[in-house]
Amino acid sequence: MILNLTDEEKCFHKELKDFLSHELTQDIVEESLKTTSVFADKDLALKWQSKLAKQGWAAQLWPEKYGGIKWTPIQKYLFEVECAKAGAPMLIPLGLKMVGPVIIKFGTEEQKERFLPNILSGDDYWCQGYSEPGSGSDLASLRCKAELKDGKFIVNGSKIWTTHAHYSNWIFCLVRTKNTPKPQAGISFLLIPMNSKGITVRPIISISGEHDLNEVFFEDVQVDTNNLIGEQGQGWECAKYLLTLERGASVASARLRSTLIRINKLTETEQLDSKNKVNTSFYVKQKLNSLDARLCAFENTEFRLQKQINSGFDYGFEPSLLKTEATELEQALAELAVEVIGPRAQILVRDSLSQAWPSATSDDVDWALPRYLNSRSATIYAGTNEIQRNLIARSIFANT
Amino acid sequence: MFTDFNYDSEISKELAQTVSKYLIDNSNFHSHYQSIKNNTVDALTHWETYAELGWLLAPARDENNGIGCTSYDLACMQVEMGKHLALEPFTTHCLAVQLIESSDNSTLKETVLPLMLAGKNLCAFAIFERASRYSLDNIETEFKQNKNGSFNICGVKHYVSDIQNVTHILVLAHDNQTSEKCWFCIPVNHLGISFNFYLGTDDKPMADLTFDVRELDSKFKISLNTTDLQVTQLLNQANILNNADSLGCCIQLLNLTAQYLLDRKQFNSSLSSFQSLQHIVADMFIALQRVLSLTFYQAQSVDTLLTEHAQERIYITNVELFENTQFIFEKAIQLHGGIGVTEELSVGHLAKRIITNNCRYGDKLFFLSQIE
Ligand SMILES: Cc1cc2nc3c(=O)[nH]c(=O)nc-3n(C[C@H](O)[C@H](O)[C@H](O)COP(=O)(O)OP(=O)(O)OC[C@H]3O[C@@H](n4cnc5c(N)ncnc54)[C@H](O)[C@@H]3O)c2cc1C
Repeated sequence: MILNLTDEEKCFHKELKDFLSHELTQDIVEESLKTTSVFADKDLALKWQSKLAKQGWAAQLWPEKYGGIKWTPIQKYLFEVECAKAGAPMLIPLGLKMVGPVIIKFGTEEQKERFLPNILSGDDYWCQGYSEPGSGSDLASLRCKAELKDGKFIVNGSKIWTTHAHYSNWIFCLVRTKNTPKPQAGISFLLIPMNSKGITVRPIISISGEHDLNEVFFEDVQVDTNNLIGEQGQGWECAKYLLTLERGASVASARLRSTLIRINKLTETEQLDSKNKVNTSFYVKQKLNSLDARLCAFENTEFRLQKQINSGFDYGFEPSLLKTEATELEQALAELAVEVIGPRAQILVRDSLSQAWPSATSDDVDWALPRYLNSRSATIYAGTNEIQRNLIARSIFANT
Repeated sequence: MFTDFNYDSEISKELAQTVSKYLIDNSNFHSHYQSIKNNTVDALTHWETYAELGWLLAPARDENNGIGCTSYDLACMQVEMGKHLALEPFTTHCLAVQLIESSDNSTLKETVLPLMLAGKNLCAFAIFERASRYSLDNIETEFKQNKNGSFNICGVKHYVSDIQNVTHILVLAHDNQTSEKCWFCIPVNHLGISFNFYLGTDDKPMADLTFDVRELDSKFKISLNTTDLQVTQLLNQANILNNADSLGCCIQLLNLTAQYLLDRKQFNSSLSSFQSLQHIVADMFIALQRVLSLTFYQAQSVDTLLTEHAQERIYITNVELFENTQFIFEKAIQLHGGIGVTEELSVGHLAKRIITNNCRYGDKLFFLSQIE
């Protein structure tokens, strides 16, 4: 990326680098390098979040009066790039980038005061209750219902693929409060404490052997009405707003660039045969070059579109395009990493194994396979890439 | 519907059908998954039955009381095993039988081989080393002949698959003086072998092995002066059976995906009604046809004498096979949505089995480097 920084931005850039060199300690970086799941480890992410929060840099999508920071697109970009370069863990977006902004946009002042400080401090840890077994891409068909009885919502139903539900003390849910001819109109946005009576959580183990996902069951769960965000029936509007943030509100290219650099290093250490390293392979060189070029295009596209999104531009295809490009690049990189490690992909280091068949001794390259396996979900979560393509096409035709 | 390919011979058809019938009746994904979850994987549950049904005789020659199956016949059997995620070490068994049969060591042929065919002896291959990927021109494991004719063998071998309850390890080593290569068949309880066991990506038991073997009786030497061509031929055979296994996985993945799209509804419509998904399934089918054709092309050509050009062809077709099998499992996962990226459905396990097959006896980068 070619950036023509102003003096002010140069100053910020220096401040940022100084901050990272002091606060991003080696133990955090090392732990972060081990991340193979969609999200970083909870404790690690919260440790980093608390350092950023102290500096006032944790909540970039929030107004200053709630502890947020007003950065220009360039500053946001510099922040993500430098964090990725330095090896900082990814912040968990569920509170800071998802439910937080929804509460800010649709919540009452009382709700903002009640929920935002704990999101920022990490005292509350959130999960997202949107998808249901029968409602994935067709989210509006969701059936988990909340009925008003004696001044409380009574929630019944289930949610699935709920990332980190087993760590969370709150879940933000889309629930059906009314059966309406247009299904979207009967959906509401409800915040539910995870320790409520009637909630059970079933773990779902991922293809990589890791436990991030869960199924959450609600049986006559009582929820206070002041946990409703916005009006009854306004849930779909909240959901759409949040999904847009989920798909396009971060600078994905910076982390992709770090991954490319990491793979490059891997090609210098892994053997192609008894004499040569992988970086002598013509195929690998070609692949690295073409991924570099594709990433260069994406960096510029992302920066260009983010600027428009940040300036309040009424967006259509942009979040979908960014999501599609970022996730498919992520998959292409993960695929190359597995090709580079070659025979080592016969080994999937699994924490859970211990007795009859222990796990293999871990090795420096062992991030590659779980990363690849988990990257398969990138084109599924936050709206599948088929659905994103439907949205992009719709936007093209609407503007033709 | 995708399994209706024309078999080359009656025997391949009959064998494939009996394997298929037995595995349909006697294995299911649920118990497979439970054993992984509980860490009680047993790769030999059906091994005795494999022996009773005569399948272990398939790779052996007539003169050793075997059935004398061709590579094509064996591939047909392995396809069925791949479909059902069978953990039994059939490919390794076939290769071990062929290696011992082709040697000039009559003791091994008379003592070890019959018990292998009866399912009592099991061999694992210790070939590859971390420092050389799949290349065998510079293996570090070495042997030295002692004055009394016995051998010392030293070195470390990685990624030894199908290790559960083996009785013998087939080790490839080189002479520290002459660089000649030689296979040894070392009894597993011989002093000087240490094991680091683990479960592979495909849920099969594996190990890294360290050898500091002294005074190995010369009767365990398979054959001196093993040529590179002989090793390459063995690895070709290994890849063909692995590719057949992946073909079985792909057939299953396509069937499962097509069924899932027919069953699952979103937006009040069956997923199978969305044209973009129909096209992806059609592409999976096209890729499957490539995999099927190339696997059997390889199986038919491997028994013929190799020219340099033919070997290149095997390498390049392996690359094509790996790319197509990967395409199929990636799309199968994608079209299943969230459930596709979990351990709860066989889709993920079939995918991981293909990943392992595609890097067990050579991988894309290595094969490409051989022809670059
Ligand atoms: C790792 C991971 C984490 C997740 N975390 C969360 C979370 O924390 N909270 C939460 O609520 N959800 C979460 N999800 C769920 C995710 O949002 C859904 O998986 C996703 O919306 C797809 O739904 P589905 O899995 O039911 O697939 P389906 O909707 O059943 O789709 C199956 C296939 O059909 C395709 N398809 C469906 N409709 C169409 C169409 N109209 N046109 C073309 N193709 C179509 C899809 O693209 C897909 O390939 C997560 C998912 C994953 C994989």
